[in-house]
Amino acid sequence: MVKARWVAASILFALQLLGLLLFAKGFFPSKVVISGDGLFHTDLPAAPAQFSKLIFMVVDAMRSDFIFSEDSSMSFVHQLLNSGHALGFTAHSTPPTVTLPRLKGLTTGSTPNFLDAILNVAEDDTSSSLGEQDSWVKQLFNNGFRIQMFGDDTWLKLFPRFFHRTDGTNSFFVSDFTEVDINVTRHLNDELTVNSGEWDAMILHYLGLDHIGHKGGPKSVFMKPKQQEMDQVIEQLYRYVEEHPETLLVVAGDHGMNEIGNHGGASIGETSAGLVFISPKLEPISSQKSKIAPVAENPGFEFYKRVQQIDLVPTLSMLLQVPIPKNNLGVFIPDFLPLWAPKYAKDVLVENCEQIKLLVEASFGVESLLDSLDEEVEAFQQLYFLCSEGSRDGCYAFLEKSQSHLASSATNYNYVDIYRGFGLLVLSAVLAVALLAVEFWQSKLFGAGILGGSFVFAVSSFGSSLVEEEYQLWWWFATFFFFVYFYSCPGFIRRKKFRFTLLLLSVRVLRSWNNSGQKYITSTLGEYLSNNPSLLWFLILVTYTVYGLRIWTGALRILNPVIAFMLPFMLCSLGFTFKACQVVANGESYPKELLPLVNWILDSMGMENAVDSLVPLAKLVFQMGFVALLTRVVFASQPNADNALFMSDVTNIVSIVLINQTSTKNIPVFLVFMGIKYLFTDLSSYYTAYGSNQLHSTAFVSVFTLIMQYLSFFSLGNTNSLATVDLSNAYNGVESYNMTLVGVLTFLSNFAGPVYWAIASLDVMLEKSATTHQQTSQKWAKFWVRNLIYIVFYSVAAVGLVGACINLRFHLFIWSVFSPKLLYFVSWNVLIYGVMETVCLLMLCIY
Amino acid sequence: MARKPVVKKLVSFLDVILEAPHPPTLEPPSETSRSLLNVPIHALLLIWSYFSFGLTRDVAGTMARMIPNLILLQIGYAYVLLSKGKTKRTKKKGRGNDNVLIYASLFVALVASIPIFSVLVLFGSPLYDHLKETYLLALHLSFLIIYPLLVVYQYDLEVWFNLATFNVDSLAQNPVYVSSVAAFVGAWLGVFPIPLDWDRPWQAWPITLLVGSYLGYFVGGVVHYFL
Repeated sequence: MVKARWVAASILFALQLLGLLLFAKGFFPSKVVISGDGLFHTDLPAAPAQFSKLIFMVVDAMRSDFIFSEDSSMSFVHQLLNSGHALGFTAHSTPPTVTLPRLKGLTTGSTPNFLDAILNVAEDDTSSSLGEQDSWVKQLFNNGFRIQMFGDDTWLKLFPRFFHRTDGTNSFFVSDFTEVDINVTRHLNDELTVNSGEWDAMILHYLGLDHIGHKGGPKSVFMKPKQQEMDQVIEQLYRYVEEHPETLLVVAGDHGMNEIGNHGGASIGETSAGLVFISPKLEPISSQKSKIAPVAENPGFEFYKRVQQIDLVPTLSMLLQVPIPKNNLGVFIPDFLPLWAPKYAKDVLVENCEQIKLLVEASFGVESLLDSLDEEVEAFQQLYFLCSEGSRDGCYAFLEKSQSHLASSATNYNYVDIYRGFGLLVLSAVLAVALLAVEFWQSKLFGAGILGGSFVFAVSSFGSSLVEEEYQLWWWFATFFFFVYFYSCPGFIRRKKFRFTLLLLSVRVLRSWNNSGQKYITSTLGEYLSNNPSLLWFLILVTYTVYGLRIWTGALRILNPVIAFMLPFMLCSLGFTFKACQVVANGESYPKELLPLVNWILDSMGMENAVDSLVPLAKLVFQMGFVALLTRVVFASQPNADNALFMSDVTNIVSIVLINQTSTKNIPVFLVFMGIKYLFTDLSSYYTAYGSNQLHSTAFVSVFTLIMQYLSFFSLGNTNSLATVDLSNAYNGVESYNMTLVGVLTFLSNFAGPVYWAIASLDVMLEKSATTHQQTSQKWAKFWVRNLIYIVFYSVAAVGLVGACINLRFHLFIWSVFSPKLLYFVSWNVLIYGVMETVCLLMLCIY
Repeated sequence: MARKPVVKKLVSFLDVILEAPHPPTLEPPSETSRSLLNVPIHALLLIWSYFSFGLTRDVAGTMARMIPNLILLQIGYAYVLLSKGKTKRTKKKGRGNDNVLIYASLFVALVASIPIFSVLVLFGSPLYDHLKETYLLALHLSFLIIYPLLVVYQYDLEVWFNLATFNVDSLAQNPVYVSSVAAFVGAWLGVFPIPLDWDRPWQAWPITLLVGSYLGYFVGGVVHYFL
């Protein structure tokens, strides 16, 4: 019977996983790209090249208002615009507005694949390479351009073999505003003078502006100086362009940013990137309208003409006279046509049309557009016919129709897989609910409550704002839970009002630590602490001390008092030192009392710079954590072991490692966690002691765990958007890039809250009641109840979310809100349910 | 099973309270408790008037300006409630006592806004950014919900404890109580529209909670009438 339950649970989980995978396979199709390189489609006389050299300067996250508005500090660019030597555009960047997919769009001219957004993080991944796919970089390379690349190393990952000379910068040390850019600019002096003859195209990618946005938002105090710095770089480049008029300078933002400085989504700020073409040659084609700079600030980011960011691709190709990349969906920007004599201008457009025609043919699966009798194709035929007759308007009509057709059909959902996956999920949900019904038949109200909560959560997936503001939903669940818990406790426990109030207060403090979501940016405790580093570091010290004391006073003392003291002492002091060195190295603000400690550590390690100490220190923390954990686990299997404290010891040791992966302002949250855990354990143990019903008390603890997992996930500042994936602790102790290791560290630093509660709840569930062996033997029954509740929750939620994705697959927010949520959900299901519950299971085996 | 004696020892002194033979019962019902007059129609009127006096334009200002109106109507409602329950009370207390009760309770309700405010904050109301609005909401809830309860159930702590723990024999006999619970539920459900991205002025804090509680108060009265 007992075994059969666990087999059933495993089958249900496998069903869920299979369903999700099948669904994902149909929902995120890997995009079909036409292989091979683009060629010229028209015979001679082809339009002559306007430029033979290119400087392509990407400023990460440069929103159009940063460069064009009255608030902008880029006065030199304004001068250029006013004199007609520059043409400005607001370029729409298609979501996901993350660097990797945007660079793919900017170079290949195709719309991005949602999966690219994830691969943006996975650096080792080679599938994101564009070595094979056609792009203007490849076309330049094929046409004998020698290309230099300085800046964000994403380019090196995309184009591993096309660059002549490179200096890549890693983009993940977000706290660095200056080094990343100096690293690029320092090459300019040489490249623009002595080495000028050694290159034909130069790509610069500046990251500092994006980092400032992530740290301080678009109104950060660092923003003005950074814009001025970029302005000076442009001025330096322009001086070169003046001397070498065959050079075209393009300044582009890969995406924008929202009002808090993040990006990844589809808001107007994130999708409005700046784009400027600079050359004295542009003066004749510059219109009066584009000569007015700066432009007044406006909420719609209407600065000059709006174009698609991918329109850059055919424009650039034609200006440099290389074939247009094969998969390009961009449309040549009409403003540049007058650069050519009319007979050549026509060739430019025809070139673009012929290239896109191939894509249209491929999308309809027809051999030739003109021979097809398909009704849908006919509309294209007519426009194409107009175009081949030489009508400029006809060409643009054809191009624009093709662009919108191809962009929307770029995602061909595989409905068979989608519905099979959904079917499996429904099946697993039905079975899970049936299991729940069997288990809770005697306590229908409990079963209904669990099912009802899961149902509300599942339904909430259909509202894009409820997905964005999921934190509020979990807060609502949490307060409701405590309310119900209070009223269902026996009267005696209910009289412990002080403890209940304290519990509510702690959870309330947890809630105010960070903002999560798009809509409300309120003042938070985390922000307050960041501005008061002395208080913050006092609390951090208290956190480490309290956790150290708890480990010391744990069961290890029975083993050996010296070890029991040394292990936590070493672990906590190493952890504290690492965090101290980290803030010093990152240039965050810190109390000056920390400096002697950091200097002493650096001296004793024989190092000059705090940055150098980070890798060895972090390694030591992880090693110490491992040793402590191992000692505790080995000790637990000894005959004289006191297992009553096993769960709390393990929780506390793991916590130190989790704290190591937490950003500084969030560390004291672990103090709050501990408070909540002790208060709830206390109340729960009375509840169990009053023995009303073991099923009820276990159900309460399990629901509490689930709620705390989600609530703490969001209260540590996470959201359902890819924009908040925190990578600042993903490289702790990592010397060279290792995808698995960085993956695990990223998981721990983003899911620190849920991981904590998965383990800590075992303590809540078992320890206080585990005074006798009889109680210990009930651990499997209790764990089964918890597991059952999780299965029901995750399977019902999966049906809701996948149902929402199917139902809203043509919704505006499908890629910006629902798909990231789906990814987060799969992570929760696989990592927090699958992996963490297995870890808990193993711990129970030892217990 | 083996734990029971241990438990006994721990809390023996409390068992007396727990196992008290007869928990104090609420005020016996009057025959006329089911009356249309008990339905708080003025709650609807009030919430409608708030909107026409510019609740969405100036949230805190309007909420503050409307407090006197709320108090006036609630005093009237208190008289209605007391006159309906007269059959028994007239024997014990006179009209004069009623007046004292009705006007003294105003001050108690004013003071009660502070604990309500604390509960609101504990349950997640913004403390730092919308202090004024949150407190005004507490004040409204206090005069809307607590005040009539004070008038009807007066100052017996044991009765209030029973009210707070839903230990009420018959809902049908306690019209104000049904309204009050419904008003709290209304405020509780009122949070739902806030995070939606409709960007309407009425989504501002705490309008939806205010509307939820007033509507809940009215609906509770109606529900009670049909109980």
